Amino acid sequence: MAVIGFCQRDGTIRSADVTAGSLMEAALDMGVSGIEGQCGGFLACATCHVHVPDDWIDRVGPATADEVTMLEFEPHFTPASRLSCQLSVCAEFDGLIVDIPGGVNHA
Amino acid sequence: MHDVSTVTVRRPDPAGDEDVVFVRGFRALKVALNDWRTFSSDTHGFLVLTPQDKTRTFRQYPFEFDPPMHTEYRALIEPFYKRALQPAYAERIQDLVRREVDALLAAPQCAVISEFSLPLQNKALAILLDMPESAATVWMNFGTDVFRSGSADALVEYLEQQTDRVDREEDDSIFGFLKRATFEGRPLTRDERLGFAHITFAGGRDTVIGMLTGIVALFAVHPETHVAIQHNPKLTASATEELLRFVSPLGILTRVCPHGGTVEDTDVAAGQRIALCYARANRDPAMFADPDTFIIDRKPNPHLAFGSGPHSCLGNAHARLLARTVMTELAQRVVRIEVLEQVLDTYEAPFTVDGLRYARLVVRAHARHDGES
Repeated sequence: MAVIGFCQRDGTIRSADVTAGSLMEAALDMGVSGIEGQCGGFLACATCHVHVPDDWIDRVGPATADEVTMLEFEPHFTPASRLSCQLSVCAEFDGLIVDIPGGVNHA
Repeated sequence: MHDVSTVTVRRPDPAGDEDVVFVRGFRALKVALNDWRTFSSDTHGFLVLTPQDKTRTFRQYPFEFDPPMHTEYRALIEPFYKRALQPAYAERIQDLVRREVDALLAAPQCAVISEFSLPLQNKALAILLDMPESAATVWMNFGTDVFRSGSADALVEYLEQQTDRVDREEDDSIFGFLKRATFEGRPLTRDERLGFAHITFAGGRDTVIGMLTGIVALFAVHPETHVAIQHNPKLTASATEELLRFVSPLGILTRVCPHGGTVEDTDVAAGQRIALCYARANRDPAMFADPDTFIIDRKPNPHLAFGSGPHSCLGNAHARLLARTVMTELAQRVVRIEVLEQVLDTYEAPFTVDGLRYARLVVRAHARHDGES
């Protein structure tokens, strides 16, 4: 059980108590704007791109090489970038709020 | 194994009088697709390998532009295509696919391209464009590829009629949407309206037909795939991505290089074109292990079937939804697809790859009865 939040591009946050699955699936369940998860989590698109806050990146971990292949040419690709389909919800993520890139909080 | 190195080749058509740099490797292609400053789309009619379309006096929007104009034009039309992500849209596609599979099962035999894929593609396009399904009857007459079937003039004439129609009567279709749309605070010009509509009819046609034909062929030629999805419907997501990689319905496009550049170690002269070999890159062994094998749960699968970068396919959500729905419906209702006749499509060989691409495919679909697998 972990409360996970998504800061949408307009600055509003959607959050929910999530028990299982990936962050991408949780975002789709919550109707988060900006997360499409088009390929279903098979590392074939980058429509679930999120930014992990600096103070969380050690716990969440950086993007894997496979993720970088999908993300490296995406707008707003940074060291904080992850594909949310590759992040499995766990108790350690309780309180995590990720950003949808390209929103009001980003230049 | 396919050669995926970059190579310069004389354009492979009867009128070919141009040396084109063919980009065939995954990494090189992905870099080129994202380097729009060097490899530009800012042209009129030269983004296909053999320029065929002399019928339009307007550009295709946003396809034949570079950022930043391209970005603004794309943002204008993107919401219309994103409707494909809505649950109500998926229900309409499911209802349509169910009816088309009814027809497939009722027929003693089916010429897949003309009797299954062509009608389904056009009726699904009617959903995408928010047009009545009856409009698809007109579009089917354009053939599977408007340029190869000589229908390019008829398409332009049709788009002009529809553009005139919504000037007289408002509706919610793509034509009405384009009439109401604004760019930089002004209404779209007539050429802009025609250009946005043209790319949808021209670009979303043979590609989707190839994808749909590929699904039927996949289940016929690789029945183990059909059975696997019957037993585990969740495989449709990964199977769709693998089908897109394996078939690569859009085999090749080109870009212009106005100021010169390089691809890997190959120089590209100012004014020369490069060919974007999506199908070849999708079989690059440096990126895809065992690339000529269809692996139903391949992951990662960073295929370039929808391109990459600013020009990535606007219709990708629609195409994915349609593919998954067809796979699911066939898996649930068809026990076996028997091939009666097949002729492979070699139109773009040797710059694409073999793999479920057909010029003609005739099958008989056998209905699944309760408990049968």
